[in-house]
Amino acid sequence: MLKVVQLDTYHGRIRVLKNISLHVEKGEIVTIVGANGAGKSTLLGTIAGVYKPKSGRIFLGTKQTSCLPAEKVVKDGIILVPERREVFDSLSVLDNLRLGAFHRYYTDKKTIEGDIEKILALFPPLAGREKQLAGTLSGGEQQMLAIGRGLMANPKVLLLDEPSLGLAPLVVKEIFEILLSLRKQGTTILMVEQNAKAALKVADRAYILERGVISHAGMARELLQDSRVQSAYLGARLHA
Amino acid sequence: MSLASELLQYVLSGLTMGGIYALVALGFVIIHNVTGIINFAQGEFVMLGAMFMVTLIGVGAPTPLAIILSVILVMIVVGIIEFGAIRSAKKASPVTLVIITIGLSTAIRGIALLVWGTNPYKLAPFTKGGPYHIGGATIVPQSLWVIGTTAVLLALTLFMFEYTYWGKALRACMVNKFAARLMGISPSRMSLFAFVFSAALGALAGMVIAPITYVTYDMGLMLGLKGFVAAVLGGLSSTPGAVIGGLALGVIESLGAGLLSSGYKDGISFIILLLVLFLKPGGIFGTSGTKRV
Ligand SMILES: Nc1ncnc2c1ncn2[C@@H]1O[C@H](COP(=O)(O)OP(=O)(O)O)[C@@H](O)[C@H]1O
Ligand SMILES: [Mg+2]
Repeated sequence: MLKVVQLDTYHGRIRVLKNISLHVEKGEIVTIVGANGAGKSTLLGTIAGVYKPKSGRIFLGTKQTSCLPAEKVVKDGIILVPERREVFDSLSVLDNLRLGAFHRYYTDKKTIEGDIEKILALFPPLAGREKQLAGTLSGGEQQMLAIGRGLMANPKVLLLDEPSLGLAPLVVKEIFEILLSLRKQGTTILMVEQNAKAALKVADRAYILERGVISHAGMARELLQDSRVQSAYLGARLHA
Repeated sequence: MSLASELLQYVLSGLTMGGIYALVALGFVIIHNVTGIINFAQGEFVMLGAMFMVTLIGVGAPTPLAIILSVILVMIVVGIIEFGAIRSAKKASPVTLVIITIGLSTAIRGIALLVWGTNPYKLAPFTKGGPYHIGGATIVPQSLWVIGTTAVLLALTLFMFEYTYWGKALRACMVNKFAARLMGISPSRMSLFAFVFSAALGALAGMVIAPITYVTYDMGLMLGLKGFVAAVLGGLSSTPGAVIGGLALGVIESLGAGLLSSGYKDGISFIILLLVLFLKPGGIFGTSGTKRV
């Protein structure tokens, strides 16, 4: 479904992504785990058209997507739920969800309100609070709203940038369970995480990103057991 | 005339000019919020609106047609300017872009000088009759046109931002440009929209005020600066702030000119600007320090 081939991205003169190749199949949850500064956000940003790669290609199905600006990539079916959620905080929950469907608003007008109902059913804490300003929600609720807003775009692939960031373990668990139920419905997810343990538990497959290079790849369950991965990424967290 | 009716008189004429300042300020705020640019050519949009109207009336167009055509013409001109001069320089720093708008304003004024000359034009009031007397003060019908038009345009603007999908998308672009792009909202399209919308507001302001003040090629300079002061007074990023800032500036100016000396009229705005910038850079109604709505 999503295929990244030999991607190189620079920030100024610094080569942040070095020859990254990966793929995500339909209906999979794939995670990329890595430390702070490894280049995770840069990778998702490049796929979403926020950063322009120096070289390499990105395919969605058979269509090449790379180099388009972010506002056009969403039409291809790739949506990025950015790090730190970035909800429209002075707009209501309902407006945030409606704006998620911006690229298809006028073509799919009839189905949008129904899609919003589905999203609210998926995230029970948001239901009944449609009129509330997004900025007044808790961190976990804002994360749910950000994911819901992304889903409103009807994406073929959902890109999640550190959905667990700054959230309490129980809230992380709640959100990751929703990801599992999304997968059951056939949603394809590529998620980057620093919280390796939680991410590896929900993912089917995983890549490990170290300073811009993919150092390991494999089934998430196997990486969770891998001693090198454990010492580097799971350390204290495994016993937490 | 009693002091009370004298004060009422100053307030009424202050609200008339204040409405115009509010419309210009609204243009500043909308463009600033969407693009981060302070558009010092905003006053020229006002002048162009008035000049096109004078010209169309001069060739015999009826007032309503002249108004509609002038608004459309100014929107087209500003659309072309945004496309040609602003968009091609989008990568430039905000300071550079502000300097570009100052350059644009000078250029537009220069072209207006060539086309319309230095003579002031007078436009007949939209409707005959009056003046009307209210509590000892008098008001000309055109003032009512100004106040009414301002009220309608402000209501339309607020309605657009609060209740239409495009308005919401524009606000999304204001509060979080990055997330807006991810949703497929194109900042350059929103920028064009903001410029053209502000142009329409400015042009209409110019047309309704034209019968009260003279229309000159350089009228945009002072109106633009006053609108800027009003916008700063309101915090530069708040739409209600711009409206209140504009009305407040109009009334303060009118009271100052009436009670002190009319020679101080323009000076007052700039003293207010300096005071606000020194004492409360976030604007009287804005929250100090933060930039966004
Ligand atoms: N917009 C940017 N401009 C310049 N450097 C950046 C930018 N974004 C990230 N970087 C740098 O690129 C590297 C990778 O950052 P990032 O992709 O955010 O990593 P992660 O998301 O894994 O924490 C870091 O060294 C960071 O300082
Ligand atoms: Mg990151």
